[in-house]
Amino acid sequence: MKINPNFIIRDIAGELVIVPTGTAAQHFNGMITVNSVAGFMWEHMAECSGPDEMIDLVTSEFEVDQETAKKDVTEFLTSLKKIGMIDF
Amino acid sequence: MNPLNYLNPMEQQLCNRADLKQIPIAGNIELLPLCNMDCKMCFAKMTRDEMERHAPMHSWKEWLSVAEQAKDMGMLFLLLTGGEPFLYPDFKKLYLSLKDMGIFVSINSNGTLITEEIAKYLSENPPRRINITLYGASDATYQKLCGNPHGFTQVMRGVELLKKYHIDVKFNCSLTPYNKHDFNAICNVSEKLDIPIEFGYYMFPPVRENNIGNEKYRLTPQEAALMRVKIQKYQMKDEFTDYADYSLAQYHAYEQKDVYVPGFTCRSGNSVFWINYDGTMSACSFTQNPLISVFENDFSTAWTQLVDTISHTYLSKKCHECKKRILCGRCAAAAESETGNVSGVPDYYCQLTDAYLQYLYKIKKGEPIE
Repeated sequence: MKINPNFIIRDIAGELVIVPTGTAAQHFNGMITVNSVAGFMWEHMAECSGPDEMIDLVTSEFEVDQETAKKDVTEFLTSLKKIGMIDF
Repeated sequence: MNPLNYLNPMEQQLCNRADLKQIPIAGNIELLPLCNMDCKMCFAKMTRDEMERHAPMHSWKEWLSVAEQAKDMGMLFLLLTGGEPFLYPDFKKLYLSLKDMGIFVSINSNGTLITEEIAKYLSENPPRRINITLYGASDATYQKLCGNPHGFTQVMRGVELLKKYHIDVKFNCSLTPYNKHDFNAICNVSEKLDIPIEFGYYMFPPVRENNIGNEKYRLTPQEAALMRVKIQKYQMKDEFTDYADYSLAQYHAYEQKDVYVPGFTCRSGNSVFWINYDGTMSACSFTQNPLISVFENDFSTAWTQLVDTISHTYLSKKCHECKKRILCGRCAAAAESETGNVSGVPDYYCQLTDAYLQYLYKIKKGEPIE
């Protein structure tokens, strides 16, 4: 999966936020706060070819069952894709 | 000057966290003191000669370096102001570089210098918002207040361009003896263009060298109180009478139980900073103690010293214990600029709040306010 390089993740006052840089704000002029799991996913996005690999990675790293991980990971990745932050 | 207007709940939460950790989440940089207008109440404007005598402007690369250091400490929001920022050489280079860093940039402008080229590059790299100060609703008022006989026409042209390119605009309007007669017309401009407006009824006295001796730069406390009522009436429409009742009830029920602690009553000097064009950091544009250079020191050193000073600074105990505090808009900057001391009691605000309270009683009784 590819991260749109015009979005970056920043640590603001202990919160992880994804923000646009440069022209990306034309499409999304706001920010998304993410928890540590989502931050982990963002950091490992390029290593995964699609949502299935990310689900495996998340279940191996965090104490979460496959079904919950599948639902949450898919939902998160789909939202990011919709606003152009990632592509897969 | 608040770079954090209109926070959504998520941004609010981030700022609250920044407050607790004393992280500089938001800043203001005054890029230059030069302006193409000559507003009678302006605290910032200098002529080029005055500026050269005081301190030269800093280059965009110097400001970028400051912003990078601030970003490393957690800055997320930055307001570029002046003077008129669009007169700053290399404004575009600085602005685009800041945007590339993942900072939400807002711009304060008088709106008279917006060109198609500016609107176009802003639309490709949108700011969080452009705040345009609206000084009146006619060229005649602009001539009287700002010395620019074409000011209103120029601003309307600028706003038209910004709207054409879908850039988020907000109006700010400070009411003075020179433009108070335009209040209703200014409201109409805001409504017609569907652009939100924030009015200010209180004008800080000059803390810098310019404007001293100009008695007419601001409303009297009584006039300011009346404008406060008018602004609230405009904002709340039919609900204003209920609001006035509620405010009076709150005032009568108010008991001061807060502990008297040091620090400002806003985020300034706690999670927000101001940097003057000469590179001196302060808590706010209207506070002068401390002033620490971000160029002679680094940003981190300046911020640490600022936070340390502000967190040990007490505002007036008399104000803290005053029952009218609940209705009063006084802040550290008002105290310092009115009295020369942040712990002083700004009498102008006492008079303003007294007059405002009388207006609330009149409204409750159904009496006319004028």
